[in-house]
Amino acid sequence: MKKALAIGLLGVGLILTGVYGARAVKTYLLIRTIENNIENPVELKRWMTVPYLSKTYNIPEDYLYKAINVPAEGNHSHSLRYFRKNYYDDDLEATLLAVQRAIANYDPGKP
Amino acid sequence: MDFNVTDYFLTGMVNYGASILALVLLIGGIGIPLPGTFMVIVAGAFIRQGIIDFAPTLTFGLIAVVIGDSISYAMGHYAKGWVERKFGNNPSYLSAQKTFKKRGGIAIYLTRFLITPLAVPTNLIAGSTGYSYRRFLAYDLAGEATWLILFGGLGYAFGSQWEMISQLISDSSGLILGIVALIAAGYLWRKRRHHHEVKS
Repeated sequence: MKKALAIGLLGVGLILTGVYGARAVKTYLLIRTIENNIENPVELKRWMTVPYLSKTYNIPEDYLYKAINVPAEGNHSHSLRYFRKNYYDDDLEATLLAVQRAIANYDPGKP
Repeated sequence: MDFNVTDYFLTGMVNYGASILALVLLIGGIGIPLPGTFMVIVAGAFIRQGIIDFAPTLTFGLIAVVIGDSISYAMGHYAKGWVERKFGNNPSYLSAQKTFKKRGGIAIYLTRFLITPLAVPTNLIAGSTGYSYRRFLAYDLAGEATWLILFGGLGYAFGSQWEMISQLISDSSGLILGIVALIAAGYLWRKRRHHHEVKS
């Protein structure tokens, strides 16, 4: 019984150590290359809301809503996933592209 | 169908702050698999971005996770009778129970932040072996505070790169679990050999 348990633990241990060890090394090497980008803006994701994007990118909420053609009213707590479904025909790429363009085209000098 | 529970929690944390983190940690403490460590890292990054505040996040997070752990401790405690009926006369169970009572504190502390996949089983074992709740609570509080500060701190330090750091931590957790399994296998093997030598 103890022998079988020891062999089982050895097998599980070897698999976990091998798989996760290799993955951890790979991620660590990747992190070393991006350490200088810690202050960079976050990548757009579908869970993000307009208030979050506004704060992260330092862009007014009103401008963002207008630029992506989404009414501000009732949408403050909705994510890009919701906008995709309700304003962009379920097209995630188009949603993210609209937000990307809005951020890129923002000019703080313009009223 | 692209249902992703993590996405909902992230949007929730942006909208409702620390209360969503607290909810995730409480449910995770009971044993329902939710991305607790990931959410703690994100909370650290959100604190850096000014989305949520440090003090309520740490306070609510700590209270919630300790309540979750206490619930799983209680589940073990109430299953004690059944466990004892089933394994009460088994020498291995009695030996494990004795060892846990003696050295359970360090297991409770380490499984909060270092070997997190074993946290819920440890709570259940602590409850079912009659480990003192006061001592459990003390080690649990210390371990969970370490977890929140350590991983929240990593999220804070890595800022916008928190997704990457969360991947590294998830992999490291699997790696540590693997090393623990190898150490346990070595220990069992040595014990078995010693037993055979004594017999012959």
